[in-house]
Amino acid sequence: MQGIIFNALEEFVLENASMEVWNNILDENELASGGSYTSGQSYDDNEIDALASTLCKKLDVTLATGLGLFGEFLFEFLLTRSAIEIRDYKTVQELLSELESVIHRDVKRIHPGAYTPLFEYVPSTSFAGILTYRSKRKLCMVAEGLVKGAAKHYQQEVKLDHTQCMHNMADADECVWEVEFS
Amino acid sequence: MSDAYKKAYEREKISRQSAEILLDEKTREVQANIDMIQQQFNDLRQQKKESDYLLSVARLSQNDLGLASIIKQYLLSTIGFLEAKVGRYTYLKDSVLVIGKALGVIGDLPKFSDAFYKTLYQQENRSTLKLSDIGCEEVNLVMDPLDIDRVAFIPIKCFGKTSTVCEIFLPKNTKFNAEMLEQCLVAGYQIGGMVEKSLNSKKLEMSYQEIKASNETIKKTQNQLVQSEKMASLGQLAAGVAHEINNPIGFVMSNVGTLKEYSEVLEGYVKLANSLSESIDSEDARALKEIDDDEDVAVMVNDIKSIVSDCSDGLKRVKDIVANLKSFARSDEEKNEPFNLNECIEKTLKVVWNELKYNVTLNRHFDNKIALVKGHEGQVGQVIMNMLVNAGQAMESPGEITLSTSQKNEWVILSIRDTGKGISKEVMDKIFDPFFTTKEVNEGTGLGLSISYGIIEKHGGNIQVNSKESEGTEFIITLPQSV
Repeated sequence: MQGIIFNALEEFVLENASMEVWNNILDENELASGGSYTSGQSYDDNEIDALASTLCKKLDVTLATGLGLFGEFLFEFLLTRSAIEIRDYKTVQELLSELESVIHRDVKRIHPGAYTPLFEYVPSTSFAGILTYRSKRKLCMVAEGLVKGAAKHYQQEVKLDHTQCMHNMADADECVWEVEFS
Repeated sequence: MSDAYKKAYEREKISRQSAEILLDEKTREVQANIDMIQQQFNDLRQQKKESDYLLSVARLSQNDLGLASIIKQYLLSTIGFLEAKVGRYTYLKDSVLVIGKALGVIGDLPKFSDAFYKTLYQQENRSTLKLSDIGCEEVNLVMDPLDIDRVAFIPIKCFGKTSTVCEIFLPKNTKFNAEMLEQCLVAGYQIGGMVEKSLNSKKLEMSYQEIKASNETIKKTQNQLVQSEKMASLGQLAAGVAHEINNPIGFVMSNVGTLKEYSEVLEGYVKLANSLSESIDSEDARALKEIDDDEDVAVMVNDIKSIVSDCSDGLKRVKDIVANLKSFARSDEEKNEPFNLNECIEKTLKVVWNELKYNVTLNRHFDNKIALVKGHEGQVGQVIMNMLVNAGQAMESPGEITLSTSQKNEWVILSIRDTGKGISKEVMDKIFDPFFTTKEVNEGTGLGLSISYGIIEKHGGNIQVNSKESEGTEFIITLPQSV
């Protein structure tokens, strides 16, 4: 996992709790990195899982809810702090349609070893479509939160119906949403 | 709270150090990339320079340049490619060394020693030599002020041998390497190929011209041979016929001579018999008178004399024609002897008159003082016959043929002018070409005028033609007089 995601999580905790909480979360986990994260570096995926679990316990929310909220926060964070230039899209649909071909391609160019999840959006109309997410990390709730964060940014209403989830279906290797924008 | 910030500060410090290390790595990576790109750019620029150079040399083959221009252009391209200041070429012409003019910043350049050039042309592999190693003071004196210290020798090989060597004088600071020299050598091979090709095509062109000329000669000779063969066969036939006719003509003439004598005797006898029949009264005398009254024997005897005389004249003409035919047939065997052109014309007329007499009025304007002409009378007669037959055929309705002879300085001139249909401009250019004919198929071989031209040329003379369509044609044959 790229360091920028850990930076975002830290920022999320500072905004929603306090530095003390973040220190405690770090202290409660034995982290190979020691809790110091640099945006351009890559860190063990287990660290984000551990930190997220601890955080949700502390906030007393389910992991799904916590990750969803973090996803929403993450979109705006990436937009302002990432080294990747995200051009001026007008809608979430536009952004989703170029996520793989433009944005993730740029990520891999700047961080050649980085692992990126796969997002595939197939529109059925101008305001609806099917979104597919595939990742070894199975952070589908973060993905859903990212879409919601994007919708907020582009001032759109979005309705996501999680029709297939990797966590609920043993043989599913991807999550699917029916998405509607308004 | 202070502990919390202290912890956060410690984390930030580690994080910053990590970021700095990352930045250093990235910076080194970027610098390495920049260096690599620069190197690639330089390589590409060098490659472009090389390909431009090779292309400029290759293009020389597309232009129709002479050998000297090809070498000069190659030299100029190579001077530019190696960033040299001056260059020149030397070449072997019939094993003698020729030094070309220098191209570049100076035009006059002293040559190296003959011994050096001798070695240079014998060596197989050459590259660059330092001027100090060659040790030619005169050259060094010119090159030192220009800061030139080396010279590259690039051979141009033709048919496996070094025929030209280009000398490229290089300044000390020239960026020059073995690869660039290799390119120059490759281009040199190309130039050698072009020179070979050019020489080959020149040779080929010369061979082609020679073959073409030989072919023309063969064609001409073949045509003359065909005609000679034809004439020889015709001559043999004519000689045979003449011989066969000669014998019967001989005894017929002899008999006609005897008949003439007999007719004179018979005339006297008839006169006497008539006067006797008048004076004697007998049955036989009356019968004699009766025959004379019925048949008019005196007139008959007179007619016999006249008939015999006509026969004699006719036979004489037959004899003349046969003699002319024999002389014509013998033309190839004839000796090269002086003859009178007027007589030759007369003899020819006797042979062809039969063909002309119904359609042609003949005018003779002979100069009796013309000199003798040296040559084959029979052959010249053949030419005149050709002209006369052509003139006759050119007249679709009755017309005139005017034969004139004259003398001009050392030349004897014969003009044969007809009032026929004339010759068009298009045809005029071809009338002396072998096998060219305006006659119907099987009516003419197209060889007559060609052979005539050849014969007159062989006699040292010439034939001129003046013609106007619908008015007539004049052939003027000019022959040198006999010395």
